[in-house]
Formats: sequence, structure tokens, C-alpha cells
Amino acid sequence: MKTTKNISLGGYAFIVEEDAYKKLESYTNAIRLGFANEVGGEEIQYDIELRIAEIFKEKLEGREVLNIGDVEDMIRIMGEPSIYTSESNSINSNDEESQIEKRFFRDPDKRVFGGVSAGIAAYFGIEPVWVRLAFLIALFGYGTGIGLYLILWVAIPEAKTTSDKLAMRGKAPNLLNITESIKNNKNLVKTGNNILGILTETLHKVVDLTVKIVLVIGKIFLIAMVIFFSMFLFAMIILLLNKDNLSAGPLTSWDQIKTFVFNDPSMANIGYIALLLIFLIPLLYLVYRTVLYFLKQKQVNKYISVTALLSWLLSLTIASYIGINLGLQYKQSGQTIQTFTYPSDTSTIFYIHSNQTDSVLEHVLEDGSLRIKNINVDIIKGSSDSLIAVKVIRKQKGPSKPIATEGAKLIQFATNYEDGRLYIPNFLTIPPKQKLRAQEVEIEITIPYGQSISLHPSIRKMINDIELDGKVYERDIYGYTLKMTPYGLSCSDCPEELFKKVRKDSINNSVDSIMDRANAELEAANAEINAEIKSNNDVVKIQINTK
Amino acid sequence: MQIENNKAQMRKGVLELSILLVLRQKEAYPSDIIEELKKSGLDVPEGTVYPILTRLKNDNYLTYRWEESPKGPPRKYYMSTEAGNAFAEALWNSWSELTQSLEKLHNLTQSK
Repeated sequence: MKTTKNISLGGYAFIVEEDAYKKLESYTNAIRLGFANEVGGEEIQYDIELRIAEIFKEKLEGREVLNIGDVEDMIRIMGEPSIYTSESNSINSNDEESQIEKRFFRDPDKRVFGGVSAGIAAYFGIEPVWVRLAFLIALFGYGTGIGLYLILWVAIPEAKTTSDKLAMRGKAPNLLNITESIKNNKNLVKTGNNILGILTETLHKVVDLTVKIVLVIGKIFLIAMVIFFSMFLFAMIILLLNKDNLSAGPLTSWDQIKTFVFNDPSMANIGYIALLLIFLIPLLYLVYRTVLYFLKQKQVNKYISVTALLSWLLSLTIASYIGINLGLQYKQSGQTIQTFTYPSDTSTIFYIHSNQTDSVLEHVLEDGSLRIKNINVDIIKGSSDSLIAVKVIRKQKGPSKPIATEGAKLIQFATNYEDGRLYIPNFLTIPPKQKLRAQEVEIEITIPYGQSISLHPSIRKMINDIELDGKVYERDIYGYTLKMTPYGLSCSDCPEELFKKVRKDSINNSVDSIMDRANAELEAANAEINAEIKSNNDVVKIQINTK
Repeated sequence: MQIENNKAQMRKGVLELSILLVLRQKEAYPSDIIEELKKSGLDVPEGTVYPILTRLKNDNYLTYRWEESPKGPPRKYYMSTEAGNAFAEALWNSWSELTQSLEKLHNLTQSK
């Protein structure tokens, strides 16, 4: 069973089988195109159609349906259109209209290896031999010819279809050019079965496979990138949408950030939306493009793309503006200094301690003030002066020095001295309505010579700088008695092993440095000497054995 | 292949003259013309004659009349005009000249 079509030819109706119809259609199309540019072409076409109808009538003789054999017989009688329309063909191919923009393709019909040279030659309308010669010459430049050729082989697509091949020569893909091209193709000699031919075939397959693999890997990589990027965007959006869980240092919600970081809460809201859009717009656009991809829709709506880009840039500008504005709030520093003095007594110990480090949390208090732990303690050498000086420096940032200083004054912080004990809290409090502007309290404690002090372990995390005589490690001094000397604080009741630790490390260090020097000198002397260094208590023995 | 191609080109070149010669004596429709040409040894596909007939007709070298056919569509019967006969004569002269020239050339070069 075959499907049929009804056609009208020269005023007669015919029933034609599907395959016969296709052949007949291309035949009549070729005739129409062949005489399209000729005066009286329509008449010629009509006369031919009449004759075809007559032939078919004779052929049918009682049958109902025209088959492929009938059409082929007709063509045998009438001849191929290209034969009797060739005159108008030549007129046609000179037409400006049939010239289109040339495209780069590899020419598989004239190839030696991958058809790169032939393709380039076709593009510039020259003989392939010149291009091949150029590649051969480039071969002598450290083989650049091969590299360049292989890159072009992979990069330039092969002219697979006839219209590709026509575009390669800058011809429009109309029927005449196509029939011409197919006709020419039959005369081409393919690569033979000699060794070069087999080698070329193999090379061709290898490169084809490489191209396919590279394309697949590239596609996978692109898909992976898109998925990864989408996930990142999605995560950022979820993070931002989950406003109440946003945190920044001591601030644990978006409301707190808005209150304590931004001068103007409405700016904060605008900034928030802008930030959200910076992640949301690319995500939506990716979704849009992905949907298009799966719908096999190649046409991208320009308005959507442009709108997406512009609104993204706008969001970025707003967010940057607000960000820069915020940054300027931290431009200048201001500070206020308070000094307290206590009498020095060489016979007593001056205790310095704090509250237990973990007993205070950085957080917003109920009254709207903010508690943060940013206290730094420096213990420095004094003179023979008889006073212990405690300098409390409140610091913070601001858009200008006066504003910063004004804010610093408001930092709530107080030390307490009682019975030879100095208490330093490990937190400061920013009063309500004040912004978080890198507030900090620095405490400088000056200890005169001869005065003994003791640091409680609770103060350890706050110590920023301490002047020691270097005989014990800073980490070991807490809880012991330290006496101020011109060389720094000296531990008077530390156990012997603490001193030993430092000595041992220092000996090891000096041994290392002596070894380094010895090795360097030996290397310079170009001598091979086995050196053995023994460290026994405080004595270092170095034995050098020459060969 | 090459020789076939050239032969086809030559035939095409003289096809106009051949058709005019056929129509000098009698009126005929395209299939008849093809038959006549075949008899003289000029084998061409039928499609070839249609464009030539129309062109000659448009140049007033031919006229035609319609005739009903019992088998199928009506047929165009072509006949030569006075101008057509004169044109055929002129073409024939130049053809003779051409064949003479070629014969001369052939004879001259054959002996060597």
C-alpha cells in the first residue's frame, strides 16, 4: 500500500504515488527555476507541462495511478532539465543575487588531509596548492604549520551538506547551484587506496573523533558550570531570604544589622533588595535560557536579555553605592584617653584579672545596647617612677575624626581597683542608638621597676603586648609572680622546667643556625665533611670529621 | 564522457537550424519534430526543443496553431514563416562555411 497525491498538470488531474510525486516535483521545480529569468519562460514551462501530461496519459492506458517508473520514463523522454536549461543557468550564476556571504568550511571533496587548505582556498577563491605550499613553508618554522593546521582542522567545521559547500564558495543555495554542484561532485576523484590515502583516512577519523570528544567534554563542562553556578546563586538567595538568620559578628539578625550597621534603615532595605537581585537576575536568566535550550528554541528574546542585563547592572550600581557609602563610615578613627594611677609598692604584688572569658557573650542587650568583646591589654616597662599607670584608650571608626571621637567617648567601659587588685572587664558596651563602628578599648598598663605583678589566667586572651625578659614563655606566666626589671618582666617563682624549656629551644635554635652556617661554609669549600653536633645541657659540642 | 559532452554541445548548436529545416516543408508538433530529427540521426531529449521553439516563435521565425488531440491535451502545431525560411537559409550558409573550414583544416593537418 502506498500513499498518493493528487496533482494537476497541463489542465489534467493525475493521481501520483508519493515517491513518484517527489521526483516529479523536483523535476518541475528545476524547470521553473531554469526558465525563471527568461522572457517567455512561462510559456516554455507550460508547453513542457502539456507534453508531460500527454506522456502520462499515454503511459497510463487505463491505469489509475502514476508510479515512479512512469516519471522516470517521462524524464528519459524529456531529458534532465539541466541539459535544456543550461543556457539560462549560465546567466543565473552570474547574477548578483546568487552570491551570498562566504563562510569558512573545510572542503571534504578536495582534501588531502582534513580539507583545511582546500577550504581556505575556496574562501579566497584561489588554488588550494598555494595554501598547501604556505603550510609546507610554515612547517620549517619549528613545525608551526602542523600545529596551526591541526588547530584549524578542529576549529573549522566540515562542509557536510551541499548548501555548506556552496556557502564555502559564496554561492546561494538555490536549486540550480545545488544541481550544478552535485553534477560536479561526480567527476571528483576521491583519495585512492595507496598508503597516503589510508594514512589520511585514519588521521581524518582520529581528528573527527577528537572534535567529537572535545565538543562533548566542552558541553559537559558547560553544563557542570551552569549547574554549579545556579546552585551557588540559589544558595545565596536562600541565605538572603532567610533574613532572621543573617549574622555579622555579634549581630544575629537582619534587623540588628539594619539597626547597628546602617545609618539609614531605608538604605539598608534598598541595599538588601539590590543584593538579592544581583543573585536573582542571573538565576532567572539561566532558567530562561535552559528552558529555551530544552524547547530547542534557538531564538533568544533580545528584550529579555537586555532588560536582565540592565536591571542587573542597576542592582550592582545601587549595591556598590550603598557599600561604598557604608565603607566611608569606617574611614577615620577617633579615640579618647583616660589615665588612672595607683601607688607602687615593691613589697606587694599588683594583681590584674578579669571575669571568666566565656561567661560573657557578644550580643544585643534588651535595652538596645550592644556588648562586644574587643579589649586589648598592653603591659609595658615603666621608669623608676613610683606609680602604676593604667591608660584606658577608647577607639572607634567614623566618617570623620570628630564624629569618631564623639562616638568613642560613649563607649561604656570601666576598670575597677580594690585592695591591690585591678579588674578589667573583657567586654565593652555600645550604648543604644550608637552604630557598630569597630569599637575597641586598649589598655596600657605601665609597671615601674621593682614592682611585682601577677596576671590571672582570665586576662590571657586580652593580652596584646607584654614586655618579658625572655627567660620564660608568655603562655606560661599566668598565675606566677613577675617582677619588672630594665630587661622586662622577670618571673621570680616560676618552676625550673619553664626556664629550661626556653633554654633548650634557644640552644636548639643556635645549633640549627650554627649547622646552617657550617653547612654553607662546607659547601663553599666544596668539601665533604660529616659533622656531628651534640647538645648536652648548656654545652654544645661540634665535631667535624674530615675525610 | 568528454566526447559525449562535446557532441551534446555541438548538437545543441545546430538544433535551431535543424528544427527550422524540419519545419520548412511541413507543420509539425514537437513529438513529430523529434521523430524527424531521430530519423536523420540527431538524437536529442524532447525537452530540448521546447525552449527553442518558443524562442523562435517569439522572434517571429515560427507560428503555430492549436489542434485537438484524441488522446490528451491539445497540441501546438508549429510552421515556419517567410522570415524563418530566410533565417534558416542564412544559418545553413554559415554552417556550410564552418564545415568547409573544418574540412580544410582537417585535410591540411592529416598528412603531417
